[in-house]
Amino acid sequence: MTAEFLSANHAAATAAALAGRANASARGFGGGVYPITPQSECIELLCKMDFTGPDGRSRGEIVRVESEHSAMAVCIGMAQAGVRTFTASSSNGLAYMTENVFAAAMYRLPIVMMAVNRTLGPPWNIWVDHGDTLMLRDSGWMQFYCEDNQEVLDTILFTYRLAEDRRVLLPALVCQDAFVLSHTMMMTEVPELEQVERFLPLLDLPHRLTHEPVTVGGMDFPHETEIHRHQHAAAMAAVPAVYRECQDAFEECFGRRPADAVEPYRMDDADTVIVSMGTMASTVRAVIDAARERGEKVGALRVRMFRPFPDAELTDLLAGAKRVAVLDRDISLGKGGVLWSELRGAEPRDCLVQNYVIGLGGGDVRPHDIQNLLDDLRGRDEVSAPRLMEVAP
Amino acid sequence: MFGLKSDWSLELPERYFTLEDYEGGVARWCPGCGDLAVLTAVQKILRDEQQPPEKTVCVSGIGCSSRFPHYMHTYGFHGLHGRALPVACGVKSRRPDLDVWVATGDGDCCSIGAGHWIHATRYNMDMVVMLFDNAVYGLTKKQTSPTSPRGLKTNTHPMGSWLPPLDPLCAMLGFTNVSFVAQTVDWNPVHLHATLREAHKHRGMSFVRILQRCPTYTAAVFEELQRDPSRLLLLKGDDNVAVDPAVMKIFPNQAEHDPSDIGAARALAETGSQGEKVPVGILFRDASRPCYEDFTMQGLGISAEDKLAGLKRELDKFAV
Ligand SMILES: Cc1ncc(C[n+]2csc(CCOP(=O)(O)OP(=O)(O)O)c2C)c(N)n1
Repeated sequence: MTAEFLSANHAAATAAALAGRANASARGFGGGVYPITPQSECIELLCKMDFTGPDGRSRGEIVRVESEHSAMAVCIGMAQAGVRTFTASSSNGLAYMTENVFAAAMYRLPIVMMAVNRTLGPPWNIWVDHGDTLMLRDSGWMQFYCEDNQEVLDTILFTYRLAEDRRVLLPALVCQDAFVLSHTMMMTEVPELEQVERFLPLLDLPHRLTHEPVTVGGMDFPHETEIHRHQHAAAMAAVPAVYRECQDAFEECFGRRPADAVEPYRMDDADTVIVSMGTMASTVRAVIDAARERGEKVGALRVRMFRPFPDAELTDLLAGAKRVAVLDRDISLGKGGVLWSELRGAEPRDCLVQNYVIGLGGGDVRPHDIQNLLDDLRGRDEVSAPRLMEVAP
Repeated sequence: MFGLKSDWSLELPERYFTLEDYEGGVARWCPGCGDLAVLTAVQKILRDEQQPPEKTVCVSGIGCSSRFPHYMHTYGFHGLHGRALPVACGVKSRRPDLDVWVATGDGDCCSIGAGHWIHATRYNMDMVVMLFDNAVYGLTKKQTSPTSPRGLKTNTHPMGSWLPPLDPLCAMLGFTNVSFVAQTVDWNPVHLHATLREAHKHRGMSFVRILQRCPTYTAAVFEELQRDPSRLLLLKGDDNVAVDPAVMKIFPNQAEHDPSDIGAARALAETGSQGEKVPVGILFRDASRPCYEDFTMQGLGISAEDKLAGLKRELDKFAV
């Protein structure tokens, strides 16, 4: 294990390459890639790497394709061939890729993709907003939101094991906030290849191209689609248990334990809770610390795994809550924050859940912004429609 | 009779447009970027033709070059990466009265938007398509594009790009219903202006590939062409781009080329794609190729009387 000063873009590429090299004695590594700000540095680092084995034979291939749609298609083809695959994208790149994002999940291919969360255009904005990956909520992929560079690196390794598990066999999306992480350097522990090899079994995709010719992607009749969706839903339902196994294995190999699907902070006896995703959670924690010092019973939850949605964990963790603020760096127009609308129902009876839409388009989320909404939450007798913080301070 | 007062009065147009009438925001391209020359050329053409700014639409995709509409004081549409052409087709299909200019990069047009490129050519709507070919993805900071020459070191090919580059002229000359293909260079403003003017005059989709310097990322790519004009081949002839004899002198290599000869055009494009005798001028023009508008605009100018007569004819079918 070495400590390196890495941006989260480079942390992601480093993790993907390690996972890929760990599959060298099976079908190797690869993916299709296409640049888009603020993700380009990730795929550029992969393009600089050499995946030739000690015997001079190629163990990987990064295909520089002509669009995101093709990038995911190349991953699909490679994964079907049994290769451990990776790509990265962002914002409108994800939007363009979407058709194949769904396809990858329907084909049950354990592709891992890193997404840098960036505002969807037009008008064009390159800063953080979670709306781009939340748009893929229903695509059948697992989704994870990271809080720092180490978590990005770890989660990419972690999700390969989770995705390739035979009980799961689903693609995984690992998300990080534009610029706040993608272009910020942090000390990051990079494991040795042997450790990664120990953590990640060789990929053995049951439906890869081998010796029994079949054609995938045919036509489904209604009852067949029902069965396929049922299988897909069952795979999603299997994730929490496999997740815990992966946490144990990760800890054993790397000496660090990845966070739970929902990460609690100072939750014992908390009656007021702030729920958030991504880097906002760090700012929330600073506000919680200050409030705790004043003797207030506040705590925080960070949703790390968004798909499958951790309903059971949230229900448990929110059991003692009286007031909950859900922070959304996204807006589903015509409804409100996506995290908020997903979380509804996990709260206990008589608990007041208020949605705050904040930091859209990369707007700053500062400690006093969080304090303001905490004050607002405390002063409420009833919930109101989701509050858009920038325009209604 | 000569000398009468009425003879002195000038016919003053109601509106007269100067260059400033076409100037939008201050261009934020790098110093020395070839895009600046194209911007000036287009503004001059519009001024010369007194094209009302509100009757002009500049459509682009995404890229440095696709910032073009922001710098024009016409209608502008800065769209999605790769999607300039279908948006322009949408505008043109229902507003044939508008003058449509498309600004697209080699990534925007030949990479992510390549599918639309083939079909827009086939639709052949009346518009000017300017391909700003700097042989690199500029806006995203130096990745290989389909037109990057072999060996170009970029952030996606740090050891040098290895595939043969796509030649947009060869491609265009193979697409169904192609009607106008020209090539020019940003560093010869006279030829650039004259070529774009010919493109503007043509009815149908006029495709102009502009070899465009990017001093920041691909300074070396066009350096030799710029320094050594003998690598260029000026296409001339009655039906080709006409430039001042003084400007023609700059080109040691000149050839008569009849733009109606698609075989000759393909041969020129093929030779040029090898980097020798890079043709500048009109390679191909055929005004008789059908335009989309020819089919869809039929009857748009129909009079109220004719409409009523038609309606009456239809209703008469139900007479008992
Ligand atoms: C769907 C999508 N994918 C990727 C991008 C990122 N992107 C923006 S511009 C560009 C390439 C631009 O190159 P080119 O068209 O040659 O124009 P130039 O900047 O060189 O003028 C890319 C890949 C995007 N904006 N949208």
